[in-house]
Amino acid sequence: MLRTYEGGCHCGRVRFRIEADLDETPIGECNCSICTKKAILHLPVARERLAILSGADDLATYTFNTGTAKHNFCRHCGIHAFYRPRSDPENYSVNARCLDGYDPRVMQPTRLFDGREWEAHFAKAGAEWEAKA
Amino acid sequence: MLETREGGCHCGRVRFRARVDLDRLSECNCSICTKKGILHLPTDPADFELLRGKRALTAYTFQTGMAQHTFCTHCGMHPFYIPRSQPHRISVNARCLDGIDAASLKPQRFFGGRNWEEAQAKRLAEEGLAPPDPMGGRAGALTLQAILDRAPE
Repeated sequence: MLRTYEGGCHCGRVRFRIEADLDETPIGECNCSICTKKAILHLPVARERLAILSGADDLATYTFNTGTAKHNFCRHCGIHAFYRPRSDPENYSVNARCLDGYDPRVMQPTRLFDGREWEAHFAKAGAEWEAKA
Repeated sequence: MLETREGGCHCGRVRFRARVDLDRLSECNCSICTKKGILHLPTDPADFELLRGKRALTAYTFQTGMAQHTFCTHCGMHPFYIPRSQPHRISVNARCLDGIDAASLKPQRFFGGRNWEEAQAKRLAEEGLAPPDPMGGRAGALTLQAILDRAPE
């Protein structure tokens, strides 16, 4: 069931609201170079289901390699509340750690994206998704 | 086992070398450690060297202002910081060590930072330590400044 969640960075400048179904959309983890350092727990959210409530001007954007992913973080506290992933740059990946009331006992990652082998894993995940559809 | 490791942020501007013990890895459930997802390796300042990036770092502080939450202003990574619980030491983020596989990192210690005073009292009792000298609330800032002062430009 779709539920509304709010969350944000640590200093409180960046706030967002999303609609997400945590039963249908399992939280993912990735082992690529930046996800390892960020410790992000990925919750994919369609762009129309994420509203930036405040702090859009407080976001810095880091890019590397292909430059597709937009790694946003709060320039004041350095927290990465959400970003635009390379695998789906039109939409968002919200960091489940930044949801208000994040509960590590419930919000455990159940999907692993093998980002160290990004191209191979992206092709495999796409084929699986199409087979399911 | 103590070993010398290097690490850094993602964009490569901030680099450090430290003697760390991966058997002393710890995790904390406080408001900021939760969002950072940091895995802590407590390190003595004498065993830590900032190799480059002093101008790329900024420090975020809140509440008591003791902890110095340093991060790279370019990529937003938090490779190390000065913790409130041990403001004379450095906490290296094990996730930012070179060649680390996060799945292999298993924290053996837990700091219940959501109830900070209680967690600190428990830790000090277990380790038989006296509370750190807050140096008028500036201990964390002074530790960070000392690291930056001896780092190359």
